[in-house]
Amino acid sequence: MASLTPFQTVGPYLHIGLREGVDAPSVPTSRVTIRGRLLDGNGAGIPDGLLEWWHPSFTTMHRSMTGEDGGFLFEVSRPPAVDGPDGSVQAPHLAVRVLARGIQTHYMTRLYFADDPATAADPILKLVPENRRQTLLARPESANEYRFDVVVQGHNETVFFDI
Amino acid sequence: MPVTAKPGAIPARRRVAPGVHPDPNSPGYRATEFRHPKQPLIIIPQTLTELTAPVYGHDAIAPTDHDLTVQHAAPPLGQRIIVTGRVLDEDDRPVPNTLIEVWQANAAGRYAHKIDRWDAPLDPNFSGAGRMLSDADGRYRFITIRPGAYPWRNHDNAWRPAHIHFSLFGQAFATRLVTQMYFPGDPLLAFDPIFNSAPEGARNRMVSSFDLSITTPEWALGYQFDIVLRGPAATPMER
Repeated sequence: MASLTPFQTVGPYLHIGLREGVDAPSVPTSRVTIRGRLLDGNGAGIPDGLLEWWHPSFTTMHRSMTGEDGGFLFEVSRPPAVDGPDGSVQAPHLAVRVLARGIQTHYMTRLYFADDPATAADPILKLVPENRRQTLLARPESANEYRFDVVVQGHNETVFFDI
Repeated sequence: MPVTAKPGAIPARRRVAPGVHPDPNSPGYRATEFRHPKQPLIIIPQTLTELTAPVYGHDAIAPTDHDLTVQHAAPPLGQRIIVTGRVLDEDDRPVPNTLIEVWQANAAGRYAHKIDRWDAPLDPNFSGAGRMLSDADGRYRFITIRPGAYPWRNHDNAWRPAHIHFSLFGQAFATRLVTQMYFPGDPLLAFDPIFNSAPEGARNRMVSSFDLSITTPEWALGYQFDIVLRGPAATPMER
């Protein structure tokens, strides 16, 4: 049996090798804009970070680099619901992966839509302690525009998953 | 209508045992101090979301993307090398048709990146980025120059050993891997907190091997580097 290769950080020069990319919808679909910041344990923006966004209905993955203040902004297809474990249905969500200098592996989380009535009943969200679920909710700012910050450490630390 | 899985089409992935990946909180690598979560990870089942594969970048591969020495008007300075190996899963099965992205410093240890301020020359003939797909046998191959070591400010007299960054997807969201390939016999490995943040029993998996059979006479030295991604959770061969 082969043994897993260890992770290493992407380091500060990740932009050389990892280009930004967008999901290209194969069918016309409504789009949502997500804006937010990637923040460290001091509340400072992480400028050398990368977030990858995935949903099984996408034709490819969306990838966004953070800017100087740790900010990111992108548009994707609004994701539909997905089959969940044991016959359940998962609320619309995006799988999120965080990579950065100083991040030794990848931190995996999810984005749910705070204004979607299905979110509260999501079988995966229910596994998260109630007082931390709000860290996974993107807040509507206007029609089809959402705010979602990812805090890797400290106050309001985002929930990360072991999958 | 929710997105639905074809029954039996998608195998779950084996959970990652301790002793493989670096600790997110590695005091020797200072940048981890405020960038590691303090709360425990929440274990979740693998659903369609985690078990489907982002097909990424397949259309964007140019003919010169696997040869970092022909991307400019003239060849870059440095020792030309061939790096090849296989992408495998934990059951030694090839991972075919998966995107591999690589990036590295030039022969002087300088990155073609606006924030790299080290006083070593840039090479106008070297960008340091490559991309390729693994073939049906999981094999990949690219041509580059051997990157130089370079200083960084992690601690006094800190130098990164020569390395090439690798990014791989595999067949599921859960199989993603970003790593660094090192060179055999590099004396800087012993002093590098990033290399040594991987557990002792696992870190040497990131060191490539020199291979005379890959080396091309009168042209380039050859290095072998296999990469292993998470395999299916249940297999007939499991004992």
